[in-house]
Amino acid sequence: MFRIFWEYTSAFFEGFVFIYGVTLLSIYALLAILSFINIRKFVKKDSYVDYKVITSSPLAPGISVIAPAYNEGVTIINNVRSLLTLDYPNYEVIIINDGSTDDTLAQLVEEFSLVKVDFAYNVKIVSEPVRGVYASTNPAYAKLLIVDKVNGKSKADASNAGINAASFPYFLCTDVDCILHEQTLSRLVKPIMEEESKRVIATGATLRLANSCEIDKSVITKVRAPRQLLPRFQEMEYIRAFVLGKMGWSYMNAVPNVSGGLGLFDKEIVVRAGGYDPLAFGEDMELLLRMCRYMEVNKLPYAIRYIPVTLCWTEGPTTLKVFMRQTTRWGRGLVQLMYIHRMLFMNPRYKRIGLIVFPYNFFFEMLAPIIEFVGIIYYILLICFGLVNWPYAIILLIFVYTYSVMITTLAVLWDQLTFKYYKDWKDIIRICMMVFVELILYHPLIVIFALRGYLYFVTGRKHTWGNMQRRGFSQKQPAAATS
Amino acid sequence: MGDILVIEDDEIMLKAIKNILSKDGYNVLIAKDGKDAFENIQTKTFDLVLTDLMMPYANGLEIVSRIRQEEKNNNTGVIVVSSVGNEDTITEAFRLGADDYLKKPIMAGELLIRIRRLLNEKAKNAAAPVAPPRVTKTVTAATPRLTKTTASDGDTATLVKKKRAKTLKK
Amino acid sequence: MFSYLRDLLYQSYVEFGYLPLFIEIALTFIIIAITSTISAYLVIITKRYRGYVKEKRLAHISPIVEAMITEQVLLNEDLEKNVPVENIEFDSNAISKPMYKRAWVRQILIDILIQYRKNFGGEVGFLLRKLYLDMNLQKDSFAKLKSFKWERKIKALSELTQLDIPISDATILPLTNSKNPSLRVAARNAYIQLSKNEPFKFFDIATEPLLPWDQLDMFRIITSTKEIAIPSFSRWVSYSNNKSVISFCLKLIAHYDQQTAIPAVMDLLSNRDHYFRADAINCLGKLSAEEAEGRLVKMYSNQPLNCQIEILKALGRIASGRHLDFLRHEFIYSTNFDARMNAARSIIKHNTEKSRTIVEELIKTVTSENQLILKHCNNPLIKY
Repeated sequence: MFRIFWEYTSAFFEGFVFIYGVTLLSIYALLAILSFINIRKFVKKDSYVDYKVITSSPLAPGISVIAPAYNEGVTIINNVRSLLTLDYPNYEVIIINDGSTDDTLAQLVEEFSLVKVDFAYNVKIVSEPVRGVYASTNPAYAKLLIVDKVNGKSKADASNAGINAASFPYFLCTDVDCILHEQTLSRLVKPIMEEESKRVIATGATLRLANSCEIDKSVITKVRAPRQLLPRFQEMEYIRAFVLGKMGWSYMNAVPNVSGGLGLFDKEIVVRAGGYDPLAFGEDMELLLRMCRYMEVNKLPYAIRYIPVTLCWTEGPTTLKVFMRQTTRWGRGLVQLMYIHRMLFMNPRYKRIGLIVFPYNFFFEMLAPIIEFVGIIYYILLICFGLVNWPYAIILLIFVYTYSVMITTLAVLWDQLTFKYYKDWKDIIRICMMVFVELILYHPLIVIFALRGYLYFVTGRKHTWGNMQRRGFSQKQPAAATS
Repeated sequence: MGDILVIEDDEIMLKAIKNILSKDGYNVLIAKDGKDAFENIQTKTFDLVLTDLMMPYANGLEIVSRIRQEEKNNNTGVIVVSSVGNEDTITEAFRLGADDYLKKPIMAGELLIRIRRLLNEKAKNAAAPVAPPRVTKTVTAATPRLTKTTASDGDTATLVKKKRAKTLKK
Repeated sequence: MFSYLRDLLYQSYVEFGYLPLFIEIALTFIIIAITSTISAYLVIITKRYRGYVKEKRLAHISPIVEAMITEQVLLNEDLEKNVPVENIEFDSNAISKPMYKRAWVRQILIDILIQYRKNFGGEVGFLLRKLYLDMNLQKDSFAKLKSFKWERKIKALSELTQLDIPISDATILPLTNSKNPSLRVAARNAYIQLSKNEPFKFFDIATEPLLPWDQLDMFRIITSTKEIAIPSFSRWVSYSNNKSVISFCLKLIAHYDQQTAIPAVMDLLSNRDHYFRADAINCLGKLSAEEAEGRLVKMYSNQPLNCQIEILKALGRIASGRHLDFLRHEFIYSTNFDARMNAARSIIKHNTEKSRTIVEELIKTVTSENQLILKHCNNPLIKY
């Protein structure tokens, strides 16, 4: 009896996994091809673009740079300075002091000669109350605005406050500790200005980790691959996700997410869609989904575009604990998103997001850890029952391994096609080494932590925020010290 | 003839200006970004500072403002050389205390003449500090329809825009 | 040895056919994956090596080229003596060194010359151009124009336009009909900049939309090229069928302050597209078109929000003083925050006795929220 049950279940399971696996691998192959086409097209076009034209043009659209800050006292001054030196003619910098308990605000007031001003703050999106708005008495810092508000316990809430205070039609959402490329605004606004018939509601670019980069007062002087193992894995994952994944999706206009660390958004659509949701764990993805829904419901053609250039460097978690919290939060956000927007699933009314984006994220992002976990248990059972056909099992394992190595290597190659980011060839080797051990060391962590996130969602457990200890970027050390 | 600090992040422009000025007999120091610029301004006094606006670490306007904040720089000439040419930026530069604003591409000959004139003025000011003479300079901005006349006495500069004849405003 | 391998391969091939399907697929993919990975690494290595060689070359040659340009152009003795540029001769020893015969050196030389020209105009700019011609570098640029690859054609066009080298219409015009959209745009921009005949005929024949990014480039070319005869853009505002051309012309009209175009722009006020109307209203504001004020105020009440806001802004720019009461009314009674904000700004922008009195009176009498708006608009520290 049990045997028949087992045979049916295992046949079903194996068949399911087989189809699942083949589909997933085909999608990766498709993304690899599409992203290649997209990147080549971009690189060719970009080779002769002179970004100085927009730098000195009166027709450049206005952009508000919105950066929430919480207890960033160690690095806030340098970070804000670097935001004030972006190469763009028409922008403002809005720093939201999210109820910091340290001297962040005091430092800003002193450094930039700020005074409290009577600011007509229009609440287009609800957020925690604003205590005051500060502007500079020194015309050199005329672009700067500080919004001081009560802590809302989420970046989403702070970003909403920033959007309320913004005056321009577009805004760049970033973290105050992200180091931006000086041409970030010019480059991110280009896809918006080049789209022929659709309205581009968001653009994004590649993010990288700043760990181990040589940094001097919030300006990157040399790009390096992270020294420590954990950030290095993450850098590799970012390269794959952005360069291969997002560029491929961008070609099909099916981008699921624009990262909260770097994203240019159309303010009008964001406000109409309701702004960021402070209760969402994956607020960036959640907002984008709502914006897409708004556009679909109103039958407005839209697009979300990505460019393959790295424009932002951020500090990644170095300890397992913080990494675990980050991944758990991501997993939790994903499930929450699927649940909240479940009416999108396979809904032809929502066209791309209903038929491509949502199902893909549901099956191949959210379900993946679950299926893998069940698969491993199944395999263990098989081993216990002695039913494993060892040669076949090993071949399959090798298959999955070589395939994943291939995809990630291609991603690194595509990345090198856009720009030679690592000056030192040793950095490339470091990243490539990670590719070979990812499946054994890094991937299991992701699976476990994501499942943890799903569990927390289901049990409704409170998420402890615990900010990443801001160590500040290590200042440029003399050559002898860095080995 | 004089100490000039050139602040510019474009390598080619930096070297080119240095060569042109050195040939004319000036003692030229260079700074590649805001950080170098601040260091130089703190530690030394110059007869003239030539600065760009867009560069790493600091906004050019901030540099102008920082120079004017120090007493010792009261007689330092400040010329802004930049590819940015919108009205607001030019106005801000003058308001912060710049003596002149040149939009790229610049004429090498014109630059030298302006520098010479500015240094002569400053020399006269230094000799007779009681009543600095009122000097009127004309700056032709990029937009063909506007001609700005700047009157500078001391640190404040007021901009007078030529307006079209308008009907009587109540 | 060879026959042994052959037999082994044959045997494997036969056995392969007996394996279950999914294993066959797996094995094939393993081989594909391994070969792709190895090829990818080879490509990465070659690319980096090539990049490394290129960098080394550049680092080696650039200082030499820059020194030569500095010596021949920037510090040229004849230039200082005010000798006309056409008559200046370069030191033939310096410019005909054997290294300048190599193609890659010539390309670096062209790139650096263009960089210098971006920074220096006037006599120095002309002399740089003369150096380019005396060293016959235009041959290299024109050769690129004949390349099959569209990106090389675009590079050629960009080099020739930046060095102000005339290109015949017969060469450029076919490119403006190229299949590649980027090439079309580049050719069109080159034509406007270099053609001595009708540079603006593209406005007449353009059927595809003029993208905002391309407008940026074109705006720069039109406003910075010295020998272009600026026509009255109202012609296209009235007669063109291409919306993007009209909206671009509106921006040009505002920039060149073409007062004669006001009637044509006012005709657009009855257009059905509200984004269009907003552009037209914006243009009228920048032109300080007093004759349009009355009509703007009249049509205000049946306009969508974006046009209403543009009208309020325009009234502030025109600032004739005749509609201060209207602005005051909108400020007090409008239900939309942005409308009230813009009404307040426009009143303050008038900057006359009467407007200042109105503002003082309003501060004392309106709600606290509106008071805040007035204080905000009055505050010079708040830039936007």
